[in-house]
Formats: sequence, structure tokens, C-alpha cells
Amino acid sequence: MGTMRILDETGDTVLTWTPEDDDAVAAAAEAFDHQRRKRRLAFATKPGQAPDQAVALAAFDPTAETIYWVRPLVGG
Amino acid sequence: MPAYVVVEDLGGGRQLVEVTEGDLRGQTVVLTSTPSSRLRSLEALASDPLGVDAGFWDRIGPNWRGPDGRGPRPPRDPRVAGRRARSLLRSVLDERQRADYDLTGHFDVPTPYGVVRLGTLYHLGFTRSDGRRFRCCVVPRGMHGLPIDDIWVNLTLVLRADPDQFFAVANWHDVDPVHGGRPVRLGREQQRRSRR
Repeated sequence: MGTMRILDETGDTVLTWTPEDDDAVAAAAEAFDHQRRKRRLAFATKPGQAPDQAVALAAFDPTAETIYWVRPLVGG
Repeated sequence: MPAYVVVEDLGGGRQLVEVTEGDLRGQTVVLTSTPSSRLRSLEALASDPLGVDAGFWDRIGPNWRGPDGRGPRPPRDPRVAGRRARSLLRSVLDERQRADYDLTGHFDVPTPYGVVRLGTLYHLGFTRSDGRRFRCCVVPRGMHGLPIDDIWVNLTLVLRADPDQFFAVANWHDVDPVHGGRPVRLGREQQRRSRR
């Protein structure tokens, strides 16, 4: 099962999908595109990978285990 | 005692419920546990709002609409958001980082350029690979409203996977003793030098 963790004021919003469920994959892909349009940054791990191995993700990957959505950085 | 009302029977032993008491009041969640364990599940949710480890519930998708036409609602209590963010942060830190954060409120993130210390907003420590120390300020864009631990998750993930982005936008303060130990904004110093 894949999980999307979208950082927000609630802590984060969690979306899940299973690669075999076409409807869930389509909904997750739509959520991915929505976040990309908001210029958020995605980092993803594959099954079995630790979070410190997360890499930048440019397009939705239904085989990802976890996709983290974060915001771009600015100098303070 | 946590309580809920059943909004919709989703089939397959899953029920959509709205929590009516406690920290999670107002949240709409899917319960997948057996009826006899649901109250215990709701109690567990208060201490583990993500419920990922428990595996008995999941958030519903962004397209779901209830009978009243409303979508899923986020937690209203910032304490709940803070706990969720803390849980997420702990899940992305390694063992040593977790221990450091629990003990000191700070943790280190190694990068190809040196080590960044997170834990004090607007005043991040950076020890360059040659040992020279700096303070820097980098934040997520539009961070207001985010729980503080979400900010550390944000910075940690970018530092690990795309450190160049972090250093490209960072504002720097030199804490080298040549400046009397006081932070000096490098940009201002360079301006002074250019006027000489």
C-alpha cells in the first residue's frame, strides 16, 4: 500500500492507495498533480527503504511506499 | 470517553464515523476494527492520531463527500496537529537524531557540505566541512500555520535529498571568532568591503 503524507496545518493529510486498485491509484495521481501545481516538492521511498533514503520525485509512482509533500524553501 | 456517530457503512467491515468527543472531535475517519474494539481504537487515536502503526483506520480520499456534501475535515485542535507532526518527524529521523531531539531539542543532518543543526527556527547551525561555523536561516515557503515539527520534517527531507536547494536560498551569519563571536551577516560585510 502506498501512502502520501501532505504536510499542512493539521500536521499532515494522509492519502493511501493500493497499486491494484485503479480508482485509488487515479485519485492518488490526481492528488499528486494537484500538489505539483501548488509547486510543492515530493520525496519518495520505495518499499523497504528507510525515510533517509527518500529521493525527489517528479511524477507519480504508484509503486512508491511513501511520498512526502513539502514546501519549497526560502531564506529567512 | 471517546464517542462517535456512524456516518456511513462502507461495507467490508468498514464504517465512516465522526468523532464526537475528545481531541479528535469533528474528525471523520474510517474505522476498520471490530465493533467491540472501536472505543479502544478511538482512545488510541488520541495518543496516536495517525494510527498508522495500529493499522485500524485510514484517512479517506480527497474526493469523498459526506451526506451533507462536505469533505473530510482536518483536526481543529492544534495540539492534535502538533502530535501528528511530532509523530511524522520521529518517523523520518534516524535513531540518533531521535535521541538528540528528545534530549536537546536539536538534531544534526549531514550534507556533502557539512552538518546542519535543526531545532532553533530562523537560527540554524551549520558547521562547514572545513570546521568553520555559521548560522543560517532557511524556512519553508508559506510555513505559517504549520506545526513546528512539520518545519523540521520539511527541512530534513530537502537537506537529505536536495541539499543544494537549501544552500542556494540560505541567508548566512558568520560566527567565526574573528568577528568577536557575534553573528555577522555576510552580505552586509561584503557591502562594507566593496565601499572601501
